[in-house]
Amino acid sequence: MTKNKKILIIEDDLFVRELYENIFRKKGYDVVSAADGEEGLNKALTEKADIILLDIMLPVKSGIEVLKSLKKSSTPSQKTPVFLLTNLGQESIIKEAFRLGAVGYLLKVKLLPHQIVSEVENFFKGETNREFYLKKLM
Amino acid sequence: MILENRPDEIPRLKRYESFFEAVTWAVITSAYALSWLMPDEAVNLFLINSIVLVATASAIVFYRILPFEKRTGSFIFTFRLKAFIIGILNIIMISVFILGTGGIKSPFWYLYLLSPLSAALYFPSWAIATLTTWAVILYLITIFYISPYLGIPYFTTDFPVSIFTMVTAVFFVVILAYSQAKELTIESERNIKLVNEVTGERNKLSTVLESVADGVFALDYKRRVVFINKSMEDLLGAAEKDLIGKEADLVFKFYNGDRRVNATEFCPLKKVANDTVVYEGSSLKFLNRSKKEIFLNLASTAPSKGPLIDVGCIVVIHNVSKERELEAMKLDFVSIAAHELRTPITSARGYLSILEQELKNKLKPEERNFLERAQISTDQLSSLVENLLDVSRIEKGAIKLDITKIQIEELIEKIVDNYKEAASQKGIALGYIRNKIKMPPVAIDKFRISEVLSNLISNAVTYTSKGRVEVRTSVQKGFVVTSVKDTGEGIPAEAIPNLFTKFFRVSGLLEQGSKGTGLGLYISKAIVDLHSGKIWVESELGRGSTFYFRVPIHQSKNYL
Repeated sequence: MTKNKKILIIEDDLFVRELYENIFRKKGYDVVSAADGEEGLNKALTEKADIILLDIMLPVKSGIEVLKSLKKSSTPSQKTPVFLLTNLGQESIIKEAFRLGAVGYLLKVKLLPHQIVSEVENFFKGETNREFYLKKLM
Repeated sequence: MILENRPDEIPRLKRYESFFEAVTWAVITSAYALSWLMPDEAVNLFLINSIVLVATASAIVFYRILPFEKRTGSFIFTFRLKAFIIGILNIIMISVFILGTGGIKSPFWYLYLLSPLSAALYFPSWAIATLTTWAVILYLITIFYISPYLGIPYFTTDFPVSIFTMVTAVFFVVILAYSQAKELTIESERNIKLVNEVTGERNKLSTVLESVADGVFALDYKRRVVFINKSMEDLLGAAEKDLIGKEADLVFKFYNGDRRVNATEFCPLKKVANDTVVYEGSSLKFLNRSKKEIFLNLASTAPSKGPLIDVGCIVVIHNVSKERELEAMKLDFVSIAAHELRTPITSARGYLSILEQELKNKLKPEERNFLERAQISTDQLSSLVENLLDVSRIEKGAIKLDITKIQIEELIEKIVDNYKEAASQKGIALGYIRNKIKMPPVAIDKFRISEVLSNLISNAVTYTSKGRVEVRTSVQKGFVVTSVKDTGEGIPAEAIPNLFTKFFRVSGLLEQGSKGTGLGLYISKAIVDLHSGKIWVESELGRGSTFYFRVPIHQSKNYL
């Protein structure tokens, strides 16, 4: 059996965070989570996750700042793929996120938990959704 | 004018006016008569002199009553001209008077000085010089030619007579001086009144204009500032004295979006028969003195009498920043509220979906129904929030189309597929009936038009209980028209005009447990309008409705 993929969920809303923790755990992922930007960045740098789900409106440090710091860091985590998983749908933010190196942008409200899981799985299968979400979310 | 600065003197002088007028003429006549009673031979000349004197005096009185600035034909009878004529008549009268009272030996010859003296009060130097010359010439003529020729005797210098004549002369000079001063008073008073009236009127008007809350300014025919009111000064943060005479383009910097609106545009210097609005701009951008961006509506009028007063245009400016702010706040409130609502909705929908997956087979039918209803409700809540966000974006003008060349058939096929299941569950046939000819590619934003299609098809499926929903496409003068035809209830004719407005729902349909938010068609219309397309509906009660929308065919030059 292949080693479980490790996912880091950075999300401040307790219910939403536990919702995603729950569904990913059930799908066999190792789940690590953080409730604010600062904590999220620390875990991103130390946990060696395979993928990071990152919210934008976060306490202490915003998701965009976390993404910036992560991509600037010299640790191997710099290359960890980041999906933004947020409820902010402004075009400018989405563009900024992709410019900073995010690989996906998911709008929480438009997707049910299992759809988010499929998006992540599709990513690991090599299907990129970047173009679609860029347009769909505007 | 000497009395212009002493308006307080006027009432006092006025009180004695009639009295002095009467006394003046009484004294003139009696002094003259008296001078003729002294010598013996002059009785024959008395009549002629009297006639000359009375005629001159009447002329003076006539000219005094004549209002100044009287127009007779093209001739303007000005105050100056009038005063000049009175001055000359005075000199003639005095000449006759001196002549009658002894020529060179007359004690009254000082009166000659009176005319130049009084003229000095209110005439320019040329007039004083003329009157003085006249007086001197007349005086010389009187002594050297007329008096000897007429054989007028010199006055005897008997003591009582001398005293009498000297006293009369002094009195006469005083009276005449007063008379001139009175003339002056009347005119100055009239002038002061006029000046007050004019300035009062001007003050009233400029106070009104000054105090108008809107900015007002006027430009001349060289587009220079000739008037500017307080509000406009405040907007610019500069004082009137620094602005008057400046070129408009250096002072007013309005922008329509990013495009500068120059004075040539808002003040085109048109010649007009009636006052005409020559430019109207709404929500023009303008940087105020603290470099803050404000928005204003501008209306520029060309006055028909502009050329007479050298005013090319009058511009009124209304600050609409507040309104825009409120509007923006309203929209922001909606979008913030919608964003805040997204998190709990995400959570509720997420948990419900997990619950459903885990309990699917363990629930009693009734319980499954409850869960389903909870899911439907949260989905409804979710689409309401999303629609509200869409509306706020539309109204903010934040929606930007990403136009590409699209084959609309494929798009329709996809969307129709999405609703096949829902339709078959209701027992409705749903299908896309392709046109025999292939549709030309259209220039659209794929995702936005998908929204429109989804909306129309989902409405058709929702509001049709039996029969079919058919989607068709056709070509029409540069457009591809897509129609969604249903066999539902139909829409009452009176509801059709409101169908595409916000939160409108056809009454009666609500009771059927419809899921609409009342925003779908509004959003669809906004999207189609953004494509320079058109959306409309044809409906017959009881037989069904057909919704149409058209989008432009992709042109090769259409490289958007």
